[in-house]
Amino acid sequence: MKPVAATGVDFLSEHLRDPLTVALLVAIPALFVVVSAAVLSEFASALGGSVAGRSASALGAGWAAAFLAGALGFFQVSSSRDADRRLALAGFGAAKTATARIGAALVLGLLVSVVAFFTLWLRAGIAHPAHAFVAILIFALIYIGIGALVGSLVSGALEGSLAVAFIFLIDTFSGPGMSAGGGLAELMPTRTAADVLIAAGAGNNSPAGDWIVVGFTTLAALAVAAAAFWLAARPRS
Amino acid sequence: MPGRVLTATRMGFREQRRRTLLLILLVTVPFLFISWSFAITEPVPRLITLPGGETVLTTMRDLHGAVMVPITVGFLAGLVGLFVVQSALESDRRLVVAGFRPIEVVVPRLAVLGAATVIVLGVSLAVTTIDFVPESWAPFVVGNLLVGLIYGAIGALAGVFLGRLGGVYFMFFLPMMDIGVAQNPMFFDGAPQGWATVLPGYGPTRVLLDGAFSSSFHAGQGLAIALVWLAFLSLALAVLLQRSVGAKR
Repeated sequence: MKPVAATGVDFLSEHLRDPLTVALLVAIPALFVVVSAAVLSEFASALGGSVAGRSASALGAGWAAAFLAGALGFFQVSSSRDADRRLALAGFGAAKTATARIGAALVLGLLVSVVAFFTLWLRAGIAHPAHAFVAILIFALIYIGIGALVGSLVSGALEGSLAVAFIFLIDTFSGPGMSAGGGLAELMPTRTAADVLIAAGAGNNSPAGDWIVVGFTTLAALAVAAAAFWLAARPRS
Repeated sequence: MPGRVLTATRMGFREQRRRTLLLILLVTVPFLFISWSFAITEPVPRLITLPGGETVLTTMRDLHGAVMVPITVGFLAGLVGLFVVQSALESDRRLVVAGFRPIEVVVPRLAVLGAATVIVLGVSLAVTTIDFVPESWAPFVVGNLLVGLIYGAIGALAGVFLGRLGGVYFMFFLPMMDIGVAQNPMFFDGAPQGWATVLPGYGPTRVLLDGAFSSSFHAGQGLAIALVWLAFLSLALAVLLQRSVGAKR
C-alpha cells in the first residue's frame, strides 16, 4: 500500500501546489455558505419549495461542497489522463494509479466539506452537526463521481466544465425544498442526501431508509469514480 | 488587418467549429437554463426598485427569467474566456517564436471569445422571448452584452492568474454570487445592497433590469460603471496577454 499512498500524496501535492488554488478551495465554500444562507429561503419560496432557516443554510453548504467536488473530479480525470497512463505503463499499473487518484480526490472532497461545514456552523449554527457533516461530505463524494464520469466521457476541458455545471444546476434547482418535487426531480443524484441535510439543519433525525439510499448512492458514485480513474489510466493496446 | 491576423482568426474559428459538443452546449445550456427557470418559478408578486428609484410590481417568475439571462451569459462567456486564454498560453507562444507579434495572436483569440459571447447572448435572448418580453429591448440587450464582455474578460484574466482548475472554481462561483445573488432583485429588498455595487455585475445588471421592467431609460450611471469596468478589464487583459504570449520569445 505504501507506493499507492505515496502516489496519492503526490497527486494531492500536485493539486495543492499553487497557493491560489488552495485559497480558492477554502474561500469559495466559505463565501458560498455565507452568501447563500442569506437568500436560499427566499429562493426556495419562489420555486415553490419549503426549505427555510437553518435547513436552507445547510443546503447551501452541501451545494458548495458539491460544485467544487464536481470540478475536482472532472479535472482529476481529464487533465491527468496522459500522465496517469504513462505512470501505469511504467509499471505502477492502472489499478494502483486509480486507487491513488481516488484517495487524493477523497481528501480534497473532505477538505471542501470541512470548510463548508465549519462555515455553516459559525454562520447559522447546526442543530445536528454529525448528520450535517456526513450529508455535506456525501454531496462532495457524489459529485466527485459525477465529475469523474463526465471526465471519462468528455475530453475537452471547457465542454466538461459546462457539463458538470449543467448537471449541478439541474440537480440543485430540482432538489427537495427547492421545488415541489415529483417526476424527474425524484431521480436527481443528491435528492436523498439533500433530504438528510435539510433534516439535520432543522435538528431532526433522518429515517433509516434515507441513510441506506444515500449510502448506496455514495458507493455507486465512488465506484463510478474508481472506474473512470481506472479507464483513464489503463494503457491502450 | 494584416493577412496573418486574418489567417490566425480564421484558424481560431475553424478550431472552434470542430468542437461539436462545445457548439451544442453553447446553444442548449442557455436554452435549458432559461426556459427551466421560467418553468419552475412561481408567479409570486415582487416589488423591485429600478435605477432612478422607480418601484415596479412584477413577479418572481419574470424576474428569475430575466436575471437568468445575464447569469447564463456571464457564466458561459467567463468559462469560454478562461479556456480561450488557456489555449492561447499553451500554443500561441509558438506563433510568436515563429515571427508573429503578440498582438497578432491575441486579436484572433479575443475575436473567438467575442463571437462565443454573441452566440450565447443571441440564444439566451431568443429563449427569453418565449416567456418574457422586456419593456425596452435596447438596454436589455446592451446590459446583457456588457455582462458577457465583462465576464469574458474576467474569465480570461482568471485563466492567466489562476490557471485552469483555479479559474474554473472561480468562474463557477463569481457569476453565481455576483449576478445570481448580489445583483438579483429576487433577494433582499428588491435592490442591490451596498456591497453589491463594487462587484463587476452591478452596472450592466442595472442597465438590463431597467430595460426589462421600464419603458424609459434611467440607468445612465449603471451604463457608465459597466463601461469603466469593461475598459479597465480589456486593457488589463490586452497587456497581460501580450506579455504572456510574448514572454518566452
